[in-house]
Amino acid sequence: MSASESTRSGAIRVVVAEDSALFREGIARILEGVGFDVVAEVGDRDALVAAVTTHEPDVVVTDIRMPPTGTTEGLDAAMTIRETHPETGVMVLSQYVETRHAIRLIENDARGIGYLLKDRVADGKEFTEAVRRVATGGTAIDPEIVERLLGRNREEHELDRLSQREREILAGMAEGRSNQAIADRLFLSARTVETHVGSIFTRLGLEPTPDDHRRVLAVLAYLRSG
Amino acid sequence: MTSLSQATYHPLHIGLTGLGGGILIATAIGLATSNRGPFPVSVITVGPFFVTSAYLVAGWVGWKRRPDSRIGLMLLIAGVLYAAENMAPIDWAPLFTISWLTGNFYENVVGHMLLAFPSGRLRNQGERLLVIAFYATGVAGSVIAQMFENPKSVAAILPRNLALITSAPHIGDAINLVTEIAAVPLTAAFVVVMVHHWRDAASTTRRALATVYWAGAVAGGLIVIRNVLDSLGTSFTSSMTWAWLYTVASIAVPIFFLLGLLRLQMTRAALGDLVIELGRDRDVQESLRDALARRLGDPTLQLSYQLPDGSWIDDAGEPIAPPHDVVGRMVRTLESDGARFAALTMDERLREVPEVVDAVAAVAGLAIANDRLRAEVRLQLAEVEASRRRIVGAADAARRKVERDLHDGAQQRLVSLALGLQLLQDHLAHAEDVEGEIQTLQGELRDALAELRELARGLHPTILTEEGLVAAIESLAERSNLPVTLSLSDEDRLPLTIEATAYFVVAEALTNVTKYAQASKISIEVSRNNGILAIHVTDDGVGGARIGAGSGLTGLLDRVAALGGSLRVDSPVEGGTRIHAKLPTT
Repeated sequence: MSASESTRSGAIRVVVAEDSALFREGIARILEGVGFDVVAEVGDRDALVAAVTTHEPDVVVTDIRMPPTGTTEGLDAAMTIRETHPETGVMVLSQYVETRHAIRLIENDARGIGYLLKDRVADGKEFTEAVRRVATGGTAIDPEIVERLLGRNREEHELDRLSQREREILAGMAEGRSNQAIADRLFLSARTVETHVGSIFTRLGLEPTPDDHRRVLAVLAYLRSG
Repeated sequence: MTSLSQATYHPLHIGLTGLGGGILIATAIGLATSNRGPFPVSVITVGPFFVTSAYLVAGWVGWKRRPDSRIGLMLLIAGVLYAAENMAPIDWAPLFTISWLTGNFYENVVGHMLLAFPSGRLRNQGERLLVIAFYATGVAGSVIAQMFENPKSVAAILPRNLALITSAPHIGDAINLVTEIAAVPLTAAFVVVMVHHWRDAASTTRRALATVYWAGAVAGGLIVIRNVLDSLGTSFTSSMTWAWLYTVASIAVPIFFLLGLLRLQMTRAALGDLVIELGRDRDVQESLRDALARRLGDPTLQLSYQLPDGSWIDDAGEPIAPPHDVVGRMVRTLESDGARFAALTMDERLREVPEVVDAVAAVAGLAIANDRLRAEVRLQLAEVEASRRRIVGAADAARRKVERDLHDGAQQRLVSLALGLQLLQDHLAHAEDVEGEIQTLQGELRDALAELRELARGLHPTILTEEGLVAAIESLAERSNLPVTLSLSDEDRLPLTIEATAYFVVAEALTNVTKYAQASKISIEVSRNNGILAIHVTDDGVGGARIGAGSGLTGLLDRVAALGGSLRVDSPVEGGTRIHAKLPTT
């Protein structure tokens, strides 16, 4: 997946919302460095909502904790933007990641939603690729959440019978990656991944779904409930 | 409360009892030795001994049990008079004369007792006049009329009447006629006063009064029947049947009086219950008033308090005028060290039972003093508790602030630094050696960030503030490396301090289980019921956990206690550990 495939007019247009100016600037430079077009940089919720209305960006990268109350403004703004601008992807960054927040963000529609730890910003390509994925309607869930859910100690569970490879593929699905992206990361063929996905779904008793975004929700819900 | 103390022996009572006994002995000797004898042993000759004994015993017991009442004394006097009346068999002229003059004078004492019951004191001038008039008819009918009666003219064998003025039976008859006529309005007045007393009596007195009025009815009935029968000229009053009736009824009179006194005595026993009842924990002053009102049988009883500034409030705390005597009401003030602090305003009729009022006032005084002390202690305790809650709240706020400072400060700075390194690396894409260096730095930064994140989260998880207790516990469980079964209640938010305390209990319990319990699973149960948040954390580990030095649970115990809750650890060796916490949610 590349920028040219997913946008009509070249660069992906992005609004960055973060109350710390230094960090905001850093995010913008990282994104610009890989060819994003940062159309606005804002420092609070209201300015974010206004910028989205003005610029109608492809994607918004926002901190979860911003003025005025410093609690979950970014999350609330994300929900608002989902309703008013369904075509705009939202990437929420947070110092901590909570499964509950992730579920809340994607429970209606996982398309164009990202939820990552702030630390990921320094991961270079991983981060910019995730923003790109969100901008083009994909999903990005922080690996820490997935790790936590997968790593949960369960009594007698189906998950225990998955092979290491199958667990890695399941994690990739939970993070919102497409089969192709999973294949690229694990150095497998897309065909092999597809076969694994089919067998994992059968083993866990999940309904197979062709959509990546619906798959994220199904897998997360499954991991959370188990 | 002297009226409640034991009676001491009083010469008057001993003297009267001795006198009555002496008269009985003299009479017995008279019966045995009289030259008019031999007297047959019959109810006529023996009956007076029983009647006199009944009066003396009743008087003695009544006085012992109710030393504050004069009824016991009056019963003794009536007994002596009854004995004196029955000294007729004695041949010695002085004693015979006394018997001759005494007549039925004891009946006047019985009448006096009826009006003076239960204290033995008359209530007002009208009653005193009535009783004086009654005694006057008695003196006239018995003593004066008999001074004109010569026993020798009845039977020559009878001893002399030493008080004989002149033998003039018609004068005696005339006096008797006058007294009998006077007896009609006097009796009517008696009945009126008795009815009045009945209507006025407090419920505690009424039961005793009822018993005594039975005595009055019996005594009065005897007199009326005797007088009617005498005026009809029948010989029934000389018959053996009448003698039996008269004797049994006469014995009944002092017994009824004694029973009346004892019923009052039982009212006083009820005071014991009051002391016990008031001694129990009472939360509201209201019930003190109610308890006093019930015990005194006066639902209108008012309890008022004098404040240090001299003003008065009622038991609801409303300012009122200083309590004062008004018609139908009496005020009893309660004092401590000479200072008035409360007053009871009650039905005036309770004056009839001064010792009951004394006792109730004393008990009420104790109860109020006790309540005051308790209120002071409660107030101080409330202050201490409030301060403890503030300390917990302040500690929470401090933790939140540190977390926020870390979040906005160190964490943010480090993230920015990592980001800067990333940018730098992009610029130096071709300098291989620098790139490796930077990657190492980035790795360390990432580790530092992860550690910092856990530290900040441990201080105060933001999800607790944002989403509440249930979400925060779910998040905790998710992070646990043991299987956790959750049973959580509704997600209604609670005050921050309560949520934080509950959260830290669960967090600390989970930490302990992970560190020490060697458990294979944990269950967390949080429920809310009747204003109590209950937390149960159970594991299947080795047990033996205790709240003690070095345990994180000790700090939590203080936190929980500061919020008025409780924390308990059940941890038998090899039996798993159960931690129960209860927190009031209001």
